[in-house]
Amino acid sequence: MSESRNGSLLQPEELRPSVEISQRILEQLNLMLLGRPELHQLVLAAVFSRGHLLLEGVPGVGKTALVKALGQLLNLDFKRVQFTPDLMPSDILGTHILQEGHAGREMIFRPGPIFTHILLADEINRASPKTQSALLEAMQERSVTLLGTTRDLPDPFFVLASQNPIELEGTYPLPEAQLDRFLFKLIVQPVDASTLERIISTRRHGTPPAPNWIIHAEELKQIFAVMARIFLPRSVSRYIARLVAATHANSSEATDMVKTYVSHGASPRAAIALAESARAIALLAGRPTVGFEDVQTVTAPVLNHRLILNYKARLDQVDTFAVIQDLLKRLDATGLNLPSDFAITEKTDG
Amino acid sequence: MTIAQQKVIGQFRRQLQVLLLAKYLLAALTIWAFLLGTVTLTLRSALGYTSEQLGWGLLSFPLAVLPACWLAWRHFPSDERICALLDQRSRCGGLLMTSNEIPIGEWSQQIASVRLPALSWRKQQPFALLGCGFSLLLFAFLLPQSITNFAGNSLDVTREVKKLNDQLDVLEKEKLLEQPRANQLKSSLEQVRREAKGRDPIKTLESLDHLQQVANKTARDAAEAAIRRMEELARVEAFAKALDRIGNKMTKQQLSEAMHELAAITKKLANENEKLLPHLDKETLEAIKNSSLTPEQAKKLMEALKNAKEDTKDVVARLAKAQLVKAEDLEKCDKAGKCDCDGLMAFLKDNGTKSDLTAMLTEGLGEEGGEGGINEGPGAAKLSFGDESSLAGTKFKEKELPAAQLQQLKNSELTGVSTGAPNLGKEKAQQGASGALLGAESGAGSANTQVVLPQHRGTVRRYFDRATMPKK
Repeated sequence: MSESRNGSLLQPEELRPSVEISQRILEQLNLMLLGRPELHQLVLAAVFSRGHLLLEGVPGVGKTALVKALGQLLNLDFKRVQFTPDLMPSDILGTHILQEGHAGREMIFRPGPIFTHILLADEINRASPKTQSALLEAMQERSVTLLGTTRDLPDPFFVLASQNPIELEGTYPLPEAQLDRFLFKLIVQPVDASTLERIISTRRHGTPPAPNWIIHAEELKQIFAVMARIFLPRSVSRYIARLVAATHANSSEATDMVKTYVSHGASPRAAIALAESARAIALLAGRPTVGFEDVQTVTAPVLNHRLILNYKARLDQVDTFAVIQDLLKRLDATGLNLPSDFAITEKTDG
Repeated sequence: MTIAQQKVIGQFRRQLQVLLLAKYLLAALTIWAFLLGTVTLTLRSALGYTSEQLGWGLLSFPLAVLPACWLAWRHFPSDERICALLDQRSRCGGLLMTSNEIPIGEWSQQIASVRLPALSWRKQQPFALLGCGFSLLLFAFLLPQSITNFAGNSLDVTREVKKLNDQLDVLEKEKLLEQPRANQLKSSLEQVRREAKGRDPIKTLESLDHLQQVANKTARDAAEAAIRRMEELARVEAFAKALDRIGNKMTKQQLSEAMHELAAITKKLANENEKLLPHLDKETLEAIKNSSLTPEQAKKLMEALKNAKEDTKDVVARLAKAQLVKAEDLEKCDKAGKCDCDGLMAFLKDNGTKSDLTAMLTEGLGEEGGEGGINEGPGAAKLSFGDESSLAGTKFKEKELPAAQLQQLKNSELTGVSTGAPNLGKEKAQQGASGALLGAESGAGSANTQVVLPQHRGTVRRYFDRATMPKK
């Protein structure tokens, strides 16, 4: 970011190829999976930001299909692990086994499914906390340490986890520390009737069509390089900071709703996540700079799993999305904080 | 950033600054007006201050303006924030904000159409509140002083203070009070008026009483002095008048002695009475000093004495008009100015004047009784009465009126009604005997003890009246 501030802004001809690629990915994703362009945009934003995704939705809404399609499009290694209560950390990270070789017996490391580009952790909340914690280092450091040896994971590395909000018996809710490592938590809603009609009329067994274009590894690297040069203006970074600070009840800018319902606000990691994902949204919009609207687009996915509400919220049936919407509505993005009896309207000609 | 964009930012900033300044000025003036109005009303009703005294409060106007300017200045946004606002409203996606920080190159073409948004302010409520504030302020200043005492905290002694102030003015004008003393009393009076408290009126009334007593005592002393001077003036005037009247009957030597005497007592009088000197001309004054008064100068002296008496009487009249002395004092003063024969005689005796001269002068005054006979003497002797008798306690003798006089009861005056029937005793109604002589017996041992009431004096006077016979 400091390089971008001191250097020059990405010029249109520098930005255009990356924008075209990202638009094409989005287009392909929308073709493969019908009816969720906004969700696809956020998933791509998370990928471009090198963030991990937590998808929440009832069974059968297309969570796994989305991850699979993404793996195909990005032309990356993809592995799926079905999380169950008896799953052990070694089942994910890998293990050392004793093997008879030419030079005698030796311990050979057998990598687990985590050594991939895209790991689909299906129904992550069904695994025990011990197994869930095995992912912590991998998600943050992008490396795995076993028997004192640290092994880097492939680059890029994404964890795309899914969880089921129903049938919660026998599940282990993810601890806050692990939740904080997911860039977004996206709620996958069932599609509407017309989309459903298109799916059943065009897809046999609901299988999505194969993509007619896939991205090359260099192109993805190019996108990551461009992402690093997307400019974050000072006013926008201040807005992000104020937004995150306002999620804490003791903040001067905290809204009444935050003061009433939030027991723990968002962490500094949330502010970083907001800045990074807003950059990705700006790229998808074909801009070299981040605007307030980019931040507002990713605020809910970034903050909704990071705000911890109190019992009063549960009693009043207030969820994090309501708190975030109220915060976005009340916090003046520009920081002008004009008196309440001042109004800014568009000037009409004549 | 292009010049056009900078211009738009500048325009918006100025617009915002003007509106912020107006808003905070309005708010500060509203608070100021309410505060000053309340304080003014409170001070006027509680401590009795007048609008004029509290008018200085209006000079606190800058105290309201300065904080408003400071507050507005604190809220003036930076160009960066205005730029952020314009970026957001023009949907520039951060390009305009970025152009404020680093060069954006070809992207500047995409943000060429940054438009100035309209800034509005809902000012009806602030203006309405300001109107209320200034109405209160006007009300607080224009409310009549008498109504501000509604709480009863201040005591309205304006009328008493004004009366006392006028009396002090009269005393000062008549030189009965020296100016520093008069000023001191007036300032004390003003203090009493200002600190008059309705809840504790005793102090105020005591103070007012004290000041009134001071003024009344001064006036009373002055009135007594004036009466004394009037008596002296009257004696000398009587002396001069007697000389004028019998001067031709006197020998030259007697006249010279009398004139000498007149000059001596006039000189003594002039030393004690400053009212006389202004009415005397130089020659007469010189003659008085040299004890060489001529009959003509004696006449001038009479005139001067008369004028001096008038002046003295005027002073007492003015004091009476200002209610500093009673009307009776004015009457006493008037009486004292009349020629007092007995007083003159005593005065001449005290002065060591020869007895034959005194007798002649007394004769000249014509106050002595007649010489006997109905055609002799200077005229009727003066009929004098002592102090007036009061009706109170007078016991009327009950009597039975003759039947012939019952008709006269119509003209009678009811003075009282007895509880029982009249107790006539042995006395019987006497026909043809009535009035003061009723009950008088002839011969030795009889005395008429009938009380002569004031209403009977006219009758008595007429009874003893004798027609003045022309002198031979």
